[in-house]
Amino acid sequence: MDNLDKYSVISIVVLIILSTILIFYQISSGEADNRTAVVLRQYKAPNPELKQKVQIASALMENSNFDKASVLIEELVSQFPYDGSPYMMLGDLRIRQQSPIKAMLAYRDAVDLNPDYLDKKAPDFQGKKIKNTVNEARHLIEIELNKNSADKNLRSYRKTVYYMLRKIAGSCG
Amino acid sequence: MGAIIGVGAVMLSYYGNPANTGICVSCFMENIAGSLGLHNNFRMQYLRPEIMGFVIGAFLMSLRSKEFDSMGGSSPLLRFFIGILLIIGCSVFIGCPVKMILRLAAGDIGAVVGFVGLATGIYIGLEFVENGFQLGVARRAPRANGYVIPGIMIFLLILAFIKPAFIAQSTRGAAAQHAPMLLSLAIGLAIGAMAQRTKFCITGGIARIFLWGPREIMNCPRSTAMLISIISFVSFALVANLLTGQFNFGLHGQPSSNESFGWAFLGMLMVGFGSVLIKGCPLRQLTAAGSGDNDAGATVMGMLVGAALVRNWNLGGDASGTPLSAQIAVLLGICILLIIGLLNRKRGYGIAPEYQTGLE
Repeated sequence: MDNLDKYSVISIVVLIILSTILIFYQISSGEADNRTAVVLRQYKAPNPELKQKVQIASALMENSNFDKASVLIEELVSQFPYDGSPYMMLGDLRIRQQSPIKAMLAYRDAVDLNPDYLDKKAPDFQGKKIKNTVNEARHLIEIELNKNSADKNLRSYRKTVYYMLRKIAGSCG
Repeated sequence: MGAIIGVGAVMLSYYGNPANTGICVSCFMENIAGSLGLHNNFRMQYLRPEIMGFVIGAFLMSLRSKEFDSMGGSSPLLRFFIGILLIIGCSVFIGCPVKMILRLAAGDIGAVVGFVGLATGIYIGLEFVENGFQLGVARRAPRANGYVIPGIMIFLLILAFIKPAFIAQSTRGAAAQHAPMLLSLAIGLAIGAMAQRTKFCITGGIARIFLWGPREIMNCPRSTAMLISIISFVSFALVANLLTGQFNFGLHGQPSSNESFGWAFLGMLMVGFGSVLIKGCPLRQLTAAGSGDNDAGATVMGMLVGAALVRNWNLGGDASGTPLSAQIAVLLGICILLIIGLLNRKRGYGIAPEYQTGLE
C-alpha cells in the first residue's frame, strides 16, 4: 500500500462519514429542503378563485384602502401558501407603504414559488418592478449598514439582495 | 480554436442563450434530457442544436481528415458512470469547464473558485494516472459502432427542426431562452470541427502544466497550442463580452451563480478528477464520440443520464445555493472516483500506454 492508497482510503472514509452526516440531516429536514424544488417542477394552472381575490386586493390598493387590502392579502397568503401571486400582492402593498425592504422579502417568496415573475418570456413577467425594488432596498440597507455594520437583520437582508440580483441576472437552470 | 469558441459562445448568449451560457455542456444536456422526457422540469426542455453541432461537426471533420476510427472496449461502463458524475459536478457549479471560462470572461469573480477546484481535481486525477491508473486499452471495433452517437445526434437534430409532439419544448424558463436554431447549429458545427482537429480540451490543457511544468510546456507543440487555445478563448470571450455589453465585473448578482463557493469548488474538483481519469472534459467527450470513440460515446450517454438525474433528484446548484441532495452527491461522487482510482491502479507502474498518447 503506497502513499496514494493511504491518502485515498483516508479520504474515502472521511467522505463517507461526511455524507452519512448529511444524509441523516436531510432525512430530518428533507421536507423543507425539497418543498420548493417539488413545487417549481410542477406546472400549475391558474386558480380562478385566487385570481378573483387578487383583483379585489388590487382594486383596494388602487383606492388607497391599504388596511382592507392588507387583511385580504394576509388571508390569501395563508390560504394559498404555494402560489406566488399573494406574495407579489404583498410586495406591491409594501411598496405602497414605502417599505422597499419588506417588499423585496415578499417578492423573494413570490419569485421562489413562481420564477415566471422574472422570466421575460412568461406573461407574468414583472422583472422591472422587482429589480427597481431590489435596488431601492439595497440602497437603504447599505446606508443603514454604514451606521451599524453589526446588525444581523441588515446583513441577512443584504444576502437577500444578492440572491435577488442573481435571480434577476438569470441562470441556465 | 480559442477565437471560434470564445466569440461563438458570446454571440450565442447575445442572440438569445441565457446569460453567461453561450455554451454549457451540462446545462444543454439537461435541456436535451428534458426534451426527451427524461425529466419533467418544464422550464428545462429544449433540443439544444449546439450539442448536436459539436458531435456532427467533429464527425464530419474526422471523416474529412480520415481520423474517424471506431475504437472501444476501455471500461465503457465505468466511463458511463463517470459521465454521470461529471454532469452532477458541473451542475453543482452551475456550469461545465467551458462555461467556467465564459463566466470568468464575463467578470464573474466567483468562477475563480471553480477554476481552482477544477485544477485541484485535475492534479488528484494525475496522481492516479502517474501511478498506474488505467481503464484498459481501446481496441478497434466494427465501424458501425462509431456511427451510433453521430447517428443519434443527426436524428435529434432532425427532431429539433420538425418539432414533433413527443419532443417537449419549454415556452418559459432557461430552456426557452435560445439563439436562433441555425446560428446555434452553425457555431456548434464550427466548434465541433475545430475541437476535433485540435483535440481541444480545457482539462487537458491544464493537466499538461501539471505533468510537464510551465517551462517544459514550451518545448511541446501540442501543450503550447492547447494552452494558447485556452488563453485565446478567455481573451476573445472577454473582448466579445466587453463589446456586446455582457461584461459585469464582480462577485454578487452574477448570472448562473451562487455563494456556495465551497461546494462549487468540490463540484469542479469532481469534474477535473473524473475528466482526467477518462481523458477529457465533457466537451472533449462529445467531440471524441463524434470521431468514433465508443468509450467517449458511453460517457456521453452517461452524461445524458446524469443530466436527467440532476433534475429529477435535485442534484444541481441554483441561485439560492447547493441543496443537501447535491452536497451528498458531490461527496459520494468524489468518494466513488477515489474507489475507481484505487481499483484500477497497477501498483509500481507509471503512466499507462493509453495516457501516453496525449492526455486529452
